[in-house]
Amino acid sequence: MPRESKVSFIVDTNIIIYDVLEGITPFSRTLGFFFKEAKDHGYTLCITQQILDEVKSILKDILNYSVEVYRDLREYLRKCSSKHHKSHALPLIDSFFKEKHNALSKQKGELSETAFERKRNQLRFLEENIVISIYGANAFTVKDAIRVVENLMRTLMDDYANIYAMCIHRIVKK
Amino acid sequence: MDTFTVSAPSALVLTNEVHSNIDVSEIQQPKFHGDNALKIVEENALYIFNNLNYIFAQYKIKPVLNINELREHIMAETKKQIEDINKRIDEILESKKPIGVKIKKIINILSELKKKDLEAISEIKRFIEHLLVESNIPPVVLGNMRLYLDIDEKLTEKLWDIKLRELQSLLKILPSRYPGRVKQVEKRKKALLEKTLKIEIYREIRPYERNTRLNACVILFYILLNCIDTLDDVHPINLQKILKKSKTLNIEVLNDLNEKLVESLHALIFKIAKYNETEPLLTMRLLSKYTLTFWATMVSTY
Repeated sequence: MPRESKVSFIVDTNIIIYDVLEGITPFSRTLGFFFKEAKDHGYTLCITQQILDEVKSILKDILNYSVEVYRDLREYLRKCSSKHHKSHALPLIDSFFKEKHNALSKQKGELSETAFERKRNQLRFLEENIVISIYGANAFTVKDAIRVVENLMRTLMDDYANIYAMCIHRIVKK
Repeated sequence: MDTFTVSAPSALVLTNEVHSNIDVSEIQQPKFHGDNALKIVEENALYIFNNLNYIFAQYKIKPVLNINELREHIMAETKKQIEDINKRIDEILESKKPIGVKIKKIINILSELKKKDLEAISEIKRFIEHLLVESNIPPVVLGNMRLYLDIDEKLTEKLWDIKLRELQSLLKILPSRYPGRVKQVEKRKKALLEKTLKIEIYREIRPYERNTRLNACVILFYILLNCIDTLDDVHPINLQKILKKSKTLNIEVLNDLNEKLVESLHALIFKIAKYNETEPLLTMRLLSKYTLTFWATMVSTY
């Protein structure tokens, strides 16, 4: 049994947590320890209540931040769509994220270095995500891009509910 | 003169028992009252609205609309629908058609109700999605509500399926081929049908489910009540108006309510996880590789 854990949970190996283990952050190292412990004792993956709470708060943060950025992007595209209804969305998205990065740079003193780096990386991933989605959906006009952004928000909420439920719904049975 | 010695063909005749797997020990010829369903719905509504009042007072929320007025308004609408269903069920029960036909007709009505119930949940889900895209309400509040609704949908479907399976199993009970048994079996089938029709809520799950439902209702009501000026706005809900006003909602109160919802959600999920079923009650679809990569990349920044 994992040491000193009052409650243990089992999580599917092919979900998010498994991927996290490949990264080298303090959070993933802790998870890595539990993963090894759990494997030694025949579980797929066990995490303690403390870690579970951390996972939940991270999921919450990601959802809030991603949707917040996409809501802003949608508003930005909507404003532009009145003038450039059929114009190409990618340059607008590019300028939106440039503005976001600039705004973030101004906050550099207020945020800790880690938090600043995290937000910067997350902004990059969010931009990458929307650009890939636009290419995937072949939605290059502003009008179509708004639809893609809205769908992405819905998908994020859906994923959040799914990952959250997957993390907590299975109780360990040996 | 030939004499015949008639031996009993089977023990069944001697003991005069109906050979079936029906447990008749608890049947006391219950009578189905159409008012039962209405009474339960009224009790639940009263419970939810009373708690709503309590929670609003606790968080010092001042809704624009009088909650009692709203309850009466909603109940008046619901009452009509329930009375209509009750009338249809009573007509079927009182008709002189064979019991099998009655059961089939009632199965059809319950399937209709199941469909309506699930549609109602999907409708709220769509509303939540709309709020996510169009309002400034914290996404995680809506995400948790979405999770709750997923669970509620599965639970509702399961409870209806249990009820329908019970009725379908009644159809499979064969009447005895011995004279005199047919009536007896039919009588018992009728009693079982009436018993099954009573709305039975699973005592194990219901308190958690009700608690969670209540909290989700509070959040939705809070959003709605702060945005609705008159009862006329309730039906049909003026969505654009609500969404426009939802931007001025007190986010702190919403977050507090959200915490309560998450707590209830945990209680409900643990309850479900311990639920003695061969298949888990809560099954979530697997995420796509693309989605997974996105979340993994985002998590790796922590």
